[in-house]
Formats: sequence, C-alpha cells, structure tokens
Amino acid sequence: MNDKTIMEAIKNRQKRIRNFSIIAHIDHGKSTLADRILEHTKSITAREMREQLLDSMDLERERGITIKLNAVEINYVHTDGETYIFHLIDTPGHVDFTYEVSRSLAACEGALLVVDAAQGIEAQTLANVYLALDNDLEIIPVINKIDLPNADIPKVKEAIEDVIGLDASDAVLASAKEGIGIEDIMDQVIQKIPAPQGDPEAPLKALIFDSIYDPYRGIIPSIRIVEGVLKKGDKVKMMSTNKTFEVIEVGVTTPKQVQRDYLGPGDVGYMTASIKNASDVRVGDTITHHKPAANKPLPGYRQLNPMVFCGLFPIDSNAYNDLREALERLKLNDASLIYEPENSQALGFGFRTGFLGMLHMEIIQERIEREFNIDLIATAPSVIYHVYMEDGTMKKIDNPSTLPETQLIDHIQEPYVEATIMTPKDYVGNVMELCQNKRGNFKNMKYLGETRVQLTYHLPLLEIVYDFFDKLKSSSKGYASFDYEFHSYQTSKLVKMDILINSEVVDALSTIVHREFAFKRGKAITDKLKDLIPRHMFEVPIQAAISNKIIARSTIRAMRKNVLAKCYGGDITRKKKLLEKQKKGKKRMKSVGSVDVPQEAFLTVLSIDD
Amino acid sequence: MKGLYIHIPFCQSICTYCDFAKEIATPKKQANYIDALIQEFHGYKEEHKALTTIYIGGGTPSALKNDDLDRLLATIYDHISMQTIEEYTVECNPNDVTVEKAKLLKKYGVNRISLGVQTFNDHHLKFINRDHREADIYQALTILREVGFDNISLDMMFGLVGQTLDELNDDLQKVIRLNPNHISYYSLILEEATPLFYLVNKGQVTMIDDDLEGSMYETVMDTLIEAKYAQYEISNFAKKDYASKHNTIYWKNDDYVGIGASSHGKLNNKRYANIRSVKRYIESVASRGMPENTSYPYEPLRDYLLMGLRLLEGVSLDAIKERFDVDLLEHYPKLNPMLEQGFLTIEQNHLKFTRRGLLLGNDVFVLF
Repeated sequence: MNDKTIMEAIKNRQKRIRNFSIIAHIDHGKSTLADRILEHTKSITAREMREQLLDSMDLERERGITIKLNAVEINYVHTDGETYIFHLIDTPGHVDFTYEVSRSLAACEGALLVVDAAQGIEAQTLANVYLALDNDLEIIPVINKIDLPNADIPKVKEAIEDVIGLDASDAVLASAKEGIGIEDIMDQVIQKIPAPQGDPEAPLKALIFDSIYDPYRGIIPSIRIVEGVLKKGDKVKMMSTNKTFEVIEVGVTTPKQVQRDYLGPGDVGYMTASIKNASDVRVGDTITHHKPAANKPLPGYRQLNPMVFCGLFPIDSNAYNDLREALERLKLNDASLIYEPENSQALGFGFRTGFLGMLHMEIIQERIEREFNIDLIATAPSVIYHVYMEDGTMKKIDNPSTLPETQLIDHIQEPYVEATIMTPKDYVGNVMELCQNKRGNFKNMKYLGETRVQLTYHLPLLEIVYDFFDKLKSSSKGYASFDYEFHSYQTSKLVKMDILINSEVVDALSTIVHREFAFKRGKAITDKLKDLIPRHMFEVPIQAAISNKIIARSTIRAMRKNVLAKCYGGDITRKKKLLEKQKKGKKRMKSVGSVDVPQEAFLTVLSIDD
Repeated sequence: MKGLYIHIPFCQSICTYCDFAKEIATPKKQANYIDALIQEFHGYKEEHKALTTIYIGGGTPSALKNDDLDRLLATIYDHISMQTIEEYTVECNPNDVTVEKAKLLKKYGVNRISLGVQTFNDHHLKFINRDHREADIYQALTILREVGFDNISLDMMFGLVGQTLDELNDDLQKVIRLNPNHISYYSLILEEATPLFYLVNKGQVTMIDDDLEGSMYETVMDTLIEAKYAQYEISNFAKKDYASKHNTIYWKNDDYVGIGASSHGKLNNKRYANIRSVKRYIESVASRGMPENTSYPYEPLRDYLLMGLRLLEGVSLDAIKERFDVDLLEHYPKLNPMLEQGFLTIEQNHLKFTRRGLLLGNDVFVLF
C-alpha cells in the first residue's frame, strides 16, 4: 500500500468511528452497561466474559468502582449494513479523579449519560456531565434500571431537562442488567454522535488519556489520535516534557491488545516505546512526531497536584526499603502519587505521601498492604497549609509536625473547596447542620424539581478529608451525594494540636485544628486513644496540648493482672502458646516510648464524633 | 528428684471451664485404658528406681472404679519401692471419697490427697458443673482424716463467673477453718473449646473484669498469708514443709516421666507429650507397646526461667551462671526496666517477682 491508499483507507475508516464514554454515578450501572455493549457486539466470547470486564484490577472489582481508565475497540455491524468502529472509553467514577475523567472525555465526541430510573441525578453525575459539555460532547441520556419497581421515568426525564437542560424526549429506556435498550443505544450512538474530525495529513497530535504499566514493555499510554497518523518506528515527542521515544508497537484494545500497522484520526488505542518512567507519560499531554512536530499541543493539559497527604510507615522498621520499592512500583503507572522520605520520632523512617484525594489514598494503602505484603501505619491525612511567617515569607506545610513555632507565624491559610451537594429536600436541614459543623460557608441553595435540592458550600478541604463523606451519608440516610473542586486558600484560626502519650509528644499524632474546635476534638481523640491502646503495666496518661498547654486528658489505668496460666502436669507448651499469642499481638503494634500503640490508633482523628 | 505423673482422663461430669484431656467413658474403655497405662508404666522400667514422687491426676482419678484403681496402684506398689517415694499424691473429687476408696489409696502407699474443692458455694459449683456440693466437701475430709491422711491439699478457684469478693472471702474462711496443709488457688481461665467459652462468646455470661480478678488474687494472698500459709509459688500456699515436692520438680526443671493420654514428660533434656486421644492412646500401646507421642523442644534457659520464676524464692543468678554460663541481666537487658519499675527484685542474688510483679508475670515471661 502506498501513502495515498493508506490515506484513503484512513479517511474511509474515520467516517465510521464513534468515540464515546459512559457517565454515571457509582452504582447506576455503568460497568454493567459496558459489559452488555461488549456482549451485544460480540466483542468477547462468553468464556472471556467476566462480570464487569472493564474493571480489571482486583481492587476495582471488589469495591465496584473504576480506578483506571480503559478503552475498548468494538466492531459493530449496524442494521444499515455498515460496519462501525466504536471506541468505548471507560471513566473513573470518583471525585478524586476528576481530571482523568475530563481527559478521557476529551478523547470522545459523545457520551452516554446513565441515570438510575429510581434515584435520579446525583451530584457526581452532574459534575461529569458539565465536564462533558465543556468538551463539546454530544450527550445521549440513558435511563437505566427501568425494571426496578420504584422506577419513575417521567420524573427522571423532567430532572434531566430541568437540571442539565438536555432534551430527554429521546432518552433511551434501558435495563443493562436485563439487556433492555442496548440496540437502541447503539442506534443513537451511530445517529447522534459525530464521526471524529481531524486531518490525517496534518502533523501528529495524539492525546494521552491514561497509561498502564507492563513489566516487560514499560509504561503504555492509552491514546486518542486527533490529527495525523502514528506508525510503528515513528520518532515521537511528549510535548510537555520534550522527551522523545521510538515507537515499538501501536495497536488497539479489544479488550485484548491487538497490534495495528498504524493509528489514524479518531482511533483510540495504545503505543509502546519502552518508556521507563511514569512521569514521562502524563495524562492530558500531547504526543507529536519528532519531525514534523505540531506547533501547538492539544488544550487542557495540566499537571495533577496531590491535595491530601499522609505519612506511611512500615510497622516493621526493617520493611522500609520494601516500602520504598512498593511506592516506586506504584508510581510507575500513577504519576499523581508523590512521596518523599519522612522521619518520625514515634514511627521511625517512612514516607510523606501525596494523593489526589481520600479514595486514592485508601487504594494506594490497600495495594501496598495487599500486593506488597507490608503492614503499614498511616498517619491522619493532612492538606497543604500556607503558613505566612512574621518575616513576610510563606511556607507550604503538608505535615502538622513540621508547623513552625506559633510565635513565628503571622497567619495560616488552608485550602477551601466548593462543594456541590444534592439531597432529597427532607434532609436539607441535616446536611446544612453538618456543613455548619464542618466550618462550611453557605453559598447557594437551588431546588431541582420538587423534591431535590442542590446546596453549594465552601468547606475546608481538611474537613472533607476527615469524615465528611461518611457523615453526609449518615445524615441523609445515604441519599445525598456530593462533588467538590478546589476553590481557594482562606485564612483560618488554625493551631497545631499535639498528642502526648505517657508525657511524650507523639509527632505522628499531631494534627492541625481550628482553634474553636480544638477542645472538643482533643477530648474526643484522647478518649478514643484510651479505648484503643491496651492497658500496660503502668498508668498511661494521654493528653492533648496546644503550645505546651494541656487542653484534654484521659488516663489508661495500669493493668492489674494478666493471665497466670497454670502449669499443669508439667505441660509447659500451654504457657508457651499463651506467650506466643501475647508476643504476636505486640508485633502488630508500634512501640512509642514504652507504650505499645496499635495501628488503628494513628487514624483516630479520622473517626471521632463531633 | 524425679517424678512420675499419671493421667486419668475420665470424669463423671464435665466442668464447664475444663480443657484438659477427659471424657465420660464406658467401664470397658476405662479398664482397657488402665491396662495400657500399666503397659506404658513397665516401659519406663529404667526410671523406676530413681523416682521420688508420684502424682496421679486428671481428669478425675477418684472416678475410677475400685478394681481398676486397685490394679493400677498394685502394679506401682509392686515395682517401686515406697521407701524412696517422698510424696505420693492422688487427686480426688469430694463425692468420690468413700471409706473403701480412701483405704485402698492408703494401702498402696498414697500419702497425699489433692481434693478438688474449687469453691464451697453451691451456686457456683452448680454453674461450673461440679457434681459435689458444700456438704460433700466436709464429709470427704472427715473420711480422709479418719482413714489417716494428714497431708491434704485443697484445690481452689477464684474469678468464677459472677463471683463477688464477699463470696471469695467466704470461701477463704472455710478453707482456713478446714486447716489443710496445702492450698492451690488458681484463677478461672477462659479456654477455647470449653462450654464456658461458648457461653461467653454467645454473650450469655461475662468473665469478671481484670481489676476485680486482680483484687481477688491479692485477697487470696493476703488472707492465706495472714493465716500462716507460706506462698511458695504464684498459685500455691503451704504450711511449713508441705510445699508440693512433685510440682516443685516442674518448677525447678528437674526430670519427670509422664504416662497416660496427653501426659507430658521431660527426660534427659528432651520433652515429650503423649497422644491426647484416649482411643488412640490405647490402640498405640496395644500395637507398639508404647503410646504415640511427640517430642517438642526443650529450651533449657527459657524453660528454667518460665518455670523457676513462678516460685516466690525466684531463680538463683549464681545457679544460672553456673548451669547456663550466662549473666542473666546482660543476656536479657529488658529485665532491667522491670527491676527499676519494681516488678522484679533481686534478693540474696535471687531474681524474683515482687508482689506487684506477681500479678503481671506474663509481661516478664514474654521477654524470654
């Protein structure tokens, strides 16, 4: 084939491509719908079919959420006789990954908006729909779970029209679980979603919207070709870093990786180029040819900045190097994970680690424990504080224990987010009370139809990092949903609160709290620690202090006696078994001075009741 | 000193807290078991001469029928010179004690009875499923003393489910009034695979809390010491010269032969445990002459300390230096904070528990 016939083939193919994502709230059936589409188009055989195939990590399947993006190429023979090429791009369904969602949407021309017929629109769905509209996507509403007894289709249609402003008259009525409406969805995808634009003869512009790590082939970016053609052997350049690579392989995912000779405009696939370092493959970056290079990258790239930080320490201090290796490995396919060594007096050597949000943090911790078999102590999460010093300088502090002396500080600013909360109107009072308790500033309240209310608050990120989400769920019987984005830094009366165990400050338990909430929080933490730390041979005082002033105290009374197993008939094994048990229990704890502190104690601040 | 321990794994009723090897067996099985015991006893012929103590425990040895008991005791009597046996103990349940049985024991040289009293409180006796009541205890003691047993130990328990300090004091007063030469006072321990464990897990009963148990233990010590009993071991009290010689063998890490199902023995720096199942014990003795057993590690220094520190006199640092060639406080530097905090003390170059340390022994034992 010469270049001309290749160009013809590319243009002919381009007309038949439809690229789309699925936008849905957690549990509204996104993964099930994706599975049904794959089944319906016979993209996979029944044997290959596993529940929720696109969610490939074990953890994802267990938690029922999508963490990493996946893109699948589907060939679909339509009733009009034409064979269409669908690229179904899956998006993560959690607020921590908003930027990744926006990049995967940028790889599409359209999106299916899946709304649960019984539950209606949730805050997160709304946030993602707005992201899709920002990217000029054609949106096809799909009302899912219509088979549920409490499905209310007219009400959901009305909400789609009122709240989002989309025409819902053509909305597909579906039940992914029952396989209803799938054909209809395919039809609308073909009719409504435009074929990708983009000149195959222009200089290459390919959008990176995800990457995976393969131990043999390095970092493999998931890409969408916007303009130009990408072939095996091409010399390419990452436009944000100017790093160059030679392309070893290009291909598509079906969902297995299948090699292709080239990828043209509208194609969604992968490339391998022996890329060793995750930071060379940045989501949102543009890949172009070394020569001729595109003169301008695709819009919308930004570097992801972690918002939540915590200390990670191995319980067994000998596992420090293992922990470093685990973080290195995880960072290979997660550029948003950052870490640097941290040394705690109480916990020894570990790492200060930054995450996009709470879920990201939990997932990383769980993967370290599960995949690398390292028992961890995680300290309470923190945000980045802007500390303005008396001398006019500003310090960014992400670790409470490194907060400078009070007398040197002029004032402290903390990050605030704008939170959008949607709740049935019966719970508005509860939710507002919660936001007030979490130091929120009320901004707006809007009725969405007759029964649902949208509240806007400015809330300190710190409060969200703690237990806001759990509290929100419990104060609304699980019905409220929320989404947030960074808003601004604002001055707050913040102080560092130290926790002393047996009169020694335990740096890993220091937190930054609002002065007005300090007493209550200090009392709650000391009480909770009293319950979590086992009794010792001596009395252990637990104190909360601000600038050396004790504000709360509780006491773990000394243990009176422990089991005095008798040594009957000379059976010493009984006694030894008991002692082994006691030793094992100790191993799961961290010695702080002469006090054994269990793992979960370091997260007490997270789970205290206000 | 060398001891012989014989295990009788049979009971009339099963106590709710007990996880020792025991069962309610048919007369035939009991007879077969005694046959097997006798055969195993002969297997240790070389040890017979050196024995200085014998202890028959259970289970409930007194639950054996008199002819089974007679066969066992007669065999021992025929092969071991009673002149060399300094202490010969048999455990008895109060309502098993009859004049006939007591005379049988006496005839074969038994010179010490350990009476399983546990408590005098009928309500508690019923809950722990003992088949005797308070009155049976007095009757048993009367019979034993009339038959001529003057060395009697009472086996007692505190920390029973729902027990109060008043009830404990009541028990203690009754113990003292009976004037035994020796008292063992153990706390009730919740063991897995017992009816009590099941009840506690179900939330139907709760064990008493550690603080009350601590107070009870101190009450036991204070009261018995006040009544002129010497506490010579964590859980054992005796009048002068009546400390248990057999149990002291365990605590001093001397050798002992253990025979019967689930019995442990220590001979020539080796430890072993016989098979626990009575059925398999009988079968293995029948087929190979000796029971199935497993040997397990003898850790000389650790065992010496785990056992030796139970004695109130403690362990001699000189003896340890000589026997194991270690300076104990250098070998286990973590003992030093225990000394500083007053859980341990050194007197006349013996390392031993203080009163405070006695209650928290495990925190010292885990160091070894």
